Amino acid sequence: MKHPLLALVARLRLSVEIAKVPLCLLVGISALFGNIFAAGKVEAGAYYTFASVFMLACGGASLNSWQERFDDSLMVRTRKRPLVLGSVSTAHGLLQSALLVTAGLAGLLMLANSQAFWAGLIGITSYNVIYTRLKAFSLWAILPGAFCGAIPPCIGWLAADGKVFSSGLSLLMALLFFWQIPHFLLIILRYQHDYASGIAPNLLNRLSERRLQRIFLPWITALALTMITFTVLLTETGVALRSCMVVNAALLVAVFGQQLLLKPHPDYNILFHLMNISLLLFMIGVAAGRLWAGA
Amino acid sequence: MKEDLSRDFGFVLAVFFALLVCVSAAMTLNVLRRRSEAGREVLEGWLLEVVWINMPLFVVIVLALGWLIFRTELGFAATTSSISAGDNDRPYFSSTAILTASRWHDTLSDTQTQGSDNYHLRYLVTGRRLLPPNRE
Repeated sequence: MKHPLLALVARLRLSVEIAKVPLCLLVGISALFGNIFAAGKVEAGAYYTFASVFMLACGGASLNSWQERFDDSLMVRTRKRPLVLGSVSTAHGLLQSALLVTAGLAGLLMLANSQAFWAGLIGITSYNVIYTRLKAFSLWAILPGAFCGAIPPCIGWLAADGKVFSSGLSLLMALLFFWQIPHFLLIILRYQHDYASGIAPNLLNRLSERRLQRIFLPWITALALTMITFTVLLTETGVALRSCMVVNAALLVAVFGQQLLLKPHPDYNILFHLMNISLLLFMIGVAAGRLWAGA
Repeated sequence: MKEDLSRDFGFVLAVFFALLVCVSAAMTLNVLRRRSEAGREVLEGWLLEVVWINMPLFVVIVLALGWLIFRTELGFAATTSSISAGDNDRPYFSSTAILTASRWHDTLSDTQTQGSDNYHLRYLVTGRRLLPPNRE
């Protein structure tokens, strides 16, 4: 018989898997980024916001795992998830999501402010109600999906008492929105065999791989230009750091252009990781610049 | 982040927009070259491709319009209310103040602006605190 402690650890590991913790950590980091971008300093509130958004995202992801357990069983990429295999009960998944969503929203309301709370509520609703339901029958679901992805940094911004109608918030939303669409498209292309089978409607069912590749360039250009536009707002940041951000954006476009337009068989794994690293570096650069200016 | 950055921001947004138009147009033209292929499925696929290629452009247009509308509306409302309250002692030169200066300049007579023809320009360049021309 298994030791109770080992059993608990195994159960926790399954819970972590349902909650997609690595992904949710990135969501939390994007909220922290929004907070630092607005406040220009790291205070206790920034950590509370990070923790609340992280819990909210884990709750949303757990609920998503529960909602999609049947579709997940049909794809190679997801068929070994705990809820699909039955190693975790559906009641466990549902209870975990309810607890985490409640904790996340309560954290935003009590430790941040009401604006952050409402943004969190809009985020979780649009993810689990609109996006998850819509993607079963429409290839346009990717748009509300991208909108959900743009909300976490906005929560951070609002938690730092940033203005709702401001160029900073618009830029934050644009940055994440323009990043989300190529990110989704790259997932489709990386797991073509799963998506081409037509389990859920997607662009690969309607367009050839070559045509899908051509869609990338305007999106990546928009993402890079959004990054460059940020540097205009960061006047108190050093020229060297701002130049690095511009180079980072230019490199992103150059590598995507080279891979998608010149190569007959682009390496989607490289592009996927490159895009993630580029965004992460950019966020670190902006946050460092804001903190540097505030010091 | 001072508000007077909004002018620069607007300028960069315009450049952003222009570059995105170029990229989207180039990609759309590329698709157009292949439209001679027949069939409804081809046409649907073609339309879908064109829409997705140009979507970033639509998003930027919506963002830019939203920014312009809210910026102007909120800024104008805030400025007019502060002026009517007699408070024009702003700590820095903002886009709101530029808008106001422009309106003042339009309403002032030539006598009042005498000696300060480049009233807007000087204030834009020097970034000095906004005062009505007759209080310079």
